[in-house]
Amino acid sequence: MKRTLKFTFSICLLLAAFLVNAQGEQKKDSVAPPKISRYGLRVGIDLFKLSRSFYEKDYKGLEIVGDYRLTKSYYLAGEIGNENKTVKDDHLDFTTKGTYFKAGFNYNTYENWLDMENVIYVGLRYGVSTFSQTLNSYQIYNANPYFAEPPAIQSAEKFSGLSAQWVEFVAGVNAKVFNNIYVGFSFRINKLVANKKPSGFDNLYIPGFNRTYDGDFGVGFNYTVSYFIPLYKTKSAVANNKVKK
Amino acid sequence: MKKIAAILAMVLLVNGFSACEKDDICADTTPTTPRLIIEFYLKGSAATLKPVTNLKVVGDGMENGIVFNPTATGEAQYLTNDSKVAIPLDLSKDTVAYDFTLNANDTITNRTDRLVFNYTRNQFYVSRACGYKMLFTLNNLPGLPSAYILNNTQPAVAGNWISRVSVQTYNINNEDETHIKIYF
Repeated sequence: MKRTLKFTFSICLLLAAFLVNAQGEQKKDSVAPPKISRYGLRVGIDLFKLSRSFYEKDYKGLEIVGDYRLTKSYYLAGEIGNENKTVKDDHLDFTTKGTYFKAGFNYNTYENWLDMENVIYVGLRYGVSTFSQTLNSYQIYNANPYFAEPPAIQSAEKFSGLSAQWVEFVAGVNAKVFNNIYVGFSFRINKLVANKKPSGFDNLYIPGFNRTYDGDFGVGFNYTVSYFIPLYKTKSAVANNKVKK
Repeated sequence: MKKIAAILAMVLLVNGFSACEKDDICADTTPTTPRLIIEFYLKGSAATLKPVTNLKVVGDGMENGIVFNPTATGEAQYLTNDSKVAIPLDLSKDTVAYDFTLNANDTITNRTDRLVFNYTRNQFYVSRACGYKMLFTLNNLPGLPSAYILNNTQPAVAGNWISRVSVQTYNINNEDETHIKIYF
């Protein structure tokens, strides 16, 4: 219940943020100079993974993000990263290490005014990850204990050469804070399409995909700071800017 | 201003997500480490189930018997009058010894037989919530101690109340089938 409240509150805040944004637009007058669109490459880093690496001792991760503006609304986008995560569950303790790469596109649904260069996008990615898993220790599940329970078995067995591929649906925001600096965040819903599992264990965590559940689905999140490298500019007719309400 | 709001919202959302993690527990319906299923039959009959009378089963070196009747209090919880019992095997050894005492609540008519089961163990991965399970195979190869030994005599002869033991299946993979039949 508390969580639901928290979630609802967050959604409200998010909506509020966008509303404020929308109001800001209306103040702008329609006597506009020709609109200049800048095209180029935006590269950034995921602060969420980076900060987690500091405060969570069982986690180390780094993700570099990038996009390249192809047309007015389409961006070629991708992420590359590395994760090292130890999970300590009741009956299992394992470490997953690996590298991933995601490539796809973003579609900007946000109509920018004048020289604004914000992006509210939806997109798709195809993700590939290669990784290894080390089973640190595990326990035999015994629903009917009678004799003294054996202690957790220290295994240190390593499963190498694992891989997974998935499709990712992305929705996110990239807002220009000043000059060429952008901050953004995105939510991701993932669906596995290929998963090479070890024999005698399972891929319970996949770098880039995150925790796996019983089905094929997973969720992800990132929070990025990026730098935009402008490459060229185009001018579009003034009229284009005025039509939309 | 709006940026601050957006960042705040994000932080809250992330909090919400991380609070959702680690919520799975091993369901009772998931087959995990099985117990040995023993059924009791009428001596000389192949198919007539015979309920035991106040049977108590105590592991070697254990103080208390296996709890058959968790709702009862005192000594009664260790007694069963069923024709079927499930007894756990030892997860850390390839052998387990149990004393089967019939009429355990009666100091005059009680009879005890010791049964030793010999087996090999194999671990199998189940799931994130359940971890691993142990499956057993009762010994069925020459050179190994036999699957069961009654009162330390081999080959088994009739015991104090048990007339005959019969292995139904050597593979103990689940609790849905009967592994051992005891005739008395």
